[in-house]
Amino acid sequence: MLTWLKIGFLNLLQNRRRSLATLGAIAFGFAAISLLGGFTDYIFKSLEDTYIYAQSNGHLSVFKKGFLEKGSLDPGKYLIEEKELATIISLCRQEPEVVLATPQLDINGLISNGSVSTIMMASGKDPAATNRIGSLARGFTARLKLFKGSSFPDDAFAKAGISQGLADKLGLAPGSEIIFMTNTIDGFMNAMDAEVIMTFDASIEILNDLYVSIPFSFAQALYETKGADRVNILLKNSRQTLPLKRRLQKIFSAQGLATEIFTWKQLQPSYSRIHNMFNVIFSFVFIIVLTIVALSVINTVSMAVVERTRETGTLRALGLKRSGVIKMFASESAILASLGSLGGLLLTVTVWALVIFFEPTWIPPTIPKEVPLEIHLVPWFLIFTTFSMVGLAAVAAVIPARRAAQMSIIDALGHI
Amino acid sequence: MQLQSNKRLDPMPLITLKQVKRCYRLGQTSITALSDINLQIEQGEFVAVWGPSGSGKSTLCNLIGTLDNPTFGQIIVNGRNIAEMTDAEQSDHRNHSVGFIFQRFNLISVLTALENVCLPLTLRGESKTVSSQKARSILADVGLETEADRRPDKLSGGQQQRVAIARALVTEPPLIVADEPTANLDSKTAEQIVALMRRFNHSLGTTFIFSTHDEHLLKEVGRRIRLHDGRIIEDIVTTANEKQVC
Repeated sequence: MLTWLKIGFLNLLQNRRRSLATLGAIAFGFAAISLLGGFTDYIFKSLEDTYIYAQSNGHLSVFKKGFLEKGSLDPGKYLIEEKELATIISLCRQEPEVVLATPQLDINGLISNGSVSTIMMASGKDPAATNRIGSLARGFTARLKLFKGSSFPDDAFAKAGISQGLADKLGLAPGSEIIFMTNTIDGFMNAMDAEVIMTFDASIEILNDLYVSIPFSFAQALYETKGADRVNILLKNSRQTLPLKRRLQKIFSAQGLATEIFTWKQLQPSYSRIHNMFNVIFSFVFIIVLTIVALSVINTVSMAVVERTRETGTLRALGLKRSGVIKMFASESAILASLGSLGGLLLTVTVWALVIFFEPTWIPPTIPKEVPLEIHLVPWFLIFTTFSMVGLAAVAAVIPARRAAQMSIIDALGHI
Repeated sequence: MQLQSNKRLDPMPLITLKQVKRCYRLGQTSITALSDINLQIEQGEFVAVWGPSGSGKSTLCNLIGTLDNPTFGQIIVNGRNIAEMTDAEQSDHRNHSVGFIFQRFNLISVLTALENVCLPLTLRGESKTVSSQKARSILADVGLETEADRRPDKLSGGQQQRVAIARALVTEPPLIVADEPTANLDSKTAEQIVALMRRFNHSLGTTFIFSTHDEHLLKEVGRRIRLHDGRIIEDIVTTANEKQVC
């Protein structure tokens, strides 16, 4: 085998210019695929981290059964009651994979600056839990500050964060006084004063004129309930999401709790859409690059086959089988692809290092703010790309190599 | 011309050709390169196939070396008709039983003399150590011990052909087929190459069949097969062969 690899390698050296051109095509192809793959991975991780950590939603959310379908029509009926809430949180905290379990209560109503009122949607979360989740964020999400003003103190009550569109509409800024007006669970009108401590851009434009963030206890007070509409669960590791979902579902059923659990992906349909979109873009680029590489390899090997026809005839005369001829050219092509992949890897690492050094920024679709642009080096993906390149090059070489293998030995030996 | 034949009658010849015909298609026309060839080659013979250009010498060598298959007739090697062998079986047969020496040496340009000689052994999966050992030994036999690590382009024509002889001999095949092995060499070197082949024929008992159009090289051979227009017109066993056979 070493002799064949040596013959392949030395033949590549003999045709340096042609080998370099093919090597360049493979290296740039490798870099294009791995950089796009690294960028895609960054997008996916950012989407995940933004939802789970920056927006404090956790990996799993537990709802009373039917809440997502019918909860908006009859919120009181589908709220998790105080006793159930305590049981659920207690059971979650017994699981070693769980970092924390925290309740959430979303409410609707009106918000007023004293003279003008408008509709709002408020999300009530525990400030202490929110701060803790934020502190566990990784990557740029940990450094991301999505609001102006100050964050909620752990014991905050009548405080509010207002989306920028809503703040502009009502002329609000951190320090402004506002009034929330909502219907209680029992259908009575309730109104409470609060102080604006922050403004922020909502993740979706349509929410930017509506969305409000308030402490969980304040949301409970506005609804006059001790319950919550969900319990958010933060895990130590994202890979535990599905196994824990299944386990908790069994545990809750055994306790007679009529709940349903959703993963963060299920609750964020935009993630799947963006994921699919990037997968389509990536597949498109992947196919184009692989086609270019395959054509380049076929061209190189075709020329090598023609130039080395007499050599092939000699080897066949010495006893090399037809399959051996194909293996010989395929291994030569695989060497070329391996070297090209190595060059591509160096190119990828160089671009990766440049991105780290220059720290370019951009505004992603789900974060209305400039954030650092990153490219991840994903080991399994680099390995996959290498194997794809080497495998493709070897397979592409088979097409011209078959021609050499099928040629009559006499014709091959007589070739000049 | 009168066809003369003087063959030994061994029960199992090395190669037997029966009514062999080889035609080539050139566009719409068919050209007969060999016709009505009946021949037996015995173990240890030193045979020259000679005749003018286009007489069918190379075609005959190619058929005997199983580089080509006859259009008609049978070529029997070790009791088997080569036309019945698969391509892979023919490859194995060539690797184990036939050595080749070519007119243009046909050494692999990127490999050293030693690596070129190792090639037939590498093809059969021999270990590098054993291959190198055998190749060095045979290179020493052809007087190229000191040139083992040189590439073909650093060797003279005569040296290259000696490397080719070493490559043909390294597997110790019973038969070596050489198609015009001296055509690209000056007359002195050509004589040296034929003498070298003859030496191995004597010392190892290897059967040599080589084609040539140079009558001067025939004095050393044990059997001359003369071709004209694709037919054998003379097949003579000389005293040189008798000496070796005895």
